[in-house]
Amino acid sequence: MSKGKKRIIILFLLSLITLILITYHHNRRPSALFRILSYPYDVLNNFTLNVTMTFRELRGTFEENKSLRKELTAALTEKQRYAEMVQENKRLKELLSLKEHLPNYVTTAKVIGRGYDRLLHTMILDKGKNSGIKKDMSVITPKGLVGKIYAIKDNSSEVLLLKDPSFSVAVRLQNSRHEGVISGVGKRYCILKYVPPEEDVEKGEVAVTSGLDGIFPPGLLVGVVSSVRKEGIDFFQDIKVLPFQSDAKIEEVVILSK
Amino acid sequence: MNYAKWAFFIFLTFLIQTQLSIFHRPLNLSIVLVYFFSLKSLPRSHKADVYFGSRSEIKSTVFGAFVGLLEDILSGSIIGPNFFSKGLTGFLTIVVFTEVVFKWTPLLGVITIVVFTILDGVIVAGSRIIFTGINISILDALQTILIQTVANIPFGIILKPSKFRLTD
Repeated sequence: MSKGKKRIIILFLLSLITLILITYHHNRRPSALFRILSYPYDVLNNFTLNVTMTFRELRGTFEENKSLRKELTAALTEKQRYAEMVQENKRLKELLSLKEHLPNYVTTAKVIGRGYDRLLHTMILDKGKNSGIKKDMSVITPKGLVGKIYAIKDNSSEVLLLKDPSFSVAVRLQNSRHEGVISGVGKRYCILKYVPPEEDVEKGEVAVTSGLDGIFPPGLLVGVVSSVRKEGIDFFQDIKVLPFQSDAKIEEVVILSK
Repeated sequence: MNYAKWAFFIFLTFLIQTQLSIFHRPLNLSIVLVYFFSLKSLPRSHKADVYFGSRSEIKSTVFGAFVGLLEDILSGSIIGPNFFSKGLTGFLTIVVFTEVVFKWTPLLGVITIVVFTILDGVIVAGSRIIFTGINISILDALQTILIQTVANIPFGIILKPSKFRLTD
């Protein structure tokens, strides 16, 4: 038989069997033989599918983990922000209560930076002349005296802090009623001057402004006596006063007129 | 012929074919398998003026038909389209490499596999449309065939017949 005829026979048989299969199995359930043939493949396919699904779920878990971490970071940042806002709210409420109780209230200002002068201990506020601030006005917080207005511009001003050696304020001790002058020494504490040795000053006594200097209104909290030394002194007692308001923790202040 | 080896190849081909896809289109690796088998079945020696291709043709056709039959069973659709298409591919591979291609080159390998993949896709889709009356989007079918063809091109380069020439 020629090769051409052989090929025709092969193709004819292939087509015939195909037509028989199509006709027989059209809309019928596959026979048991076919189910047996496909069984090993089905088992293997199910196993492969399970493995694939596991890897997909794992990948999904990694993606979800990454996304959740991102959300957690965002939530923590938000929480931090809210905590900050709560603190600010608290401070502002205290300032507001000050405003309501002080007759010579001028304005409230935010601390925007430390002063540029290397010789003076100052800080910069975000309000100035345009907000009614004038030189030598008192600067306080709910905790106590901070300093006084030292220099002014239109929209900013500089505050001379309590700890500066060139700062001084007339004070009175609340209990013993002794008067003196508190001056800064460039350190955390200040010195209460001009208290004679015969006067009894106790540690823990609160110092408030006396108003006698004509600059600071009377009754403003300044600090607390932290140490008293009478031995080895010249004319006056060596009294250290720790200010109530630390200059490192100031964010908002109230400005009072004279 | 190592039946276990080819049985393993058949299952592996179907597994990979069902697990992998490109742009959400299934691959057509069964045609590559049939093509590969047919290339391996090409006769290694020749005698002048004697046609010896019949045995290879029958072997490749039967193998291709068997792979096609399995594919039809596993697809759940009517049995016949893949049976005929893969059987025809097995047959035509032998014919092509004995009557048409006298010296294999990668380009000819690529052209062959491309033609067979397209032919397979058209026969299977056409048979399903004619005999089951299903409504297939022609554009969708063509896109699938195109992607399968492109995916099979590397096999046209990699797979080559055993050392055989009709003429020296």
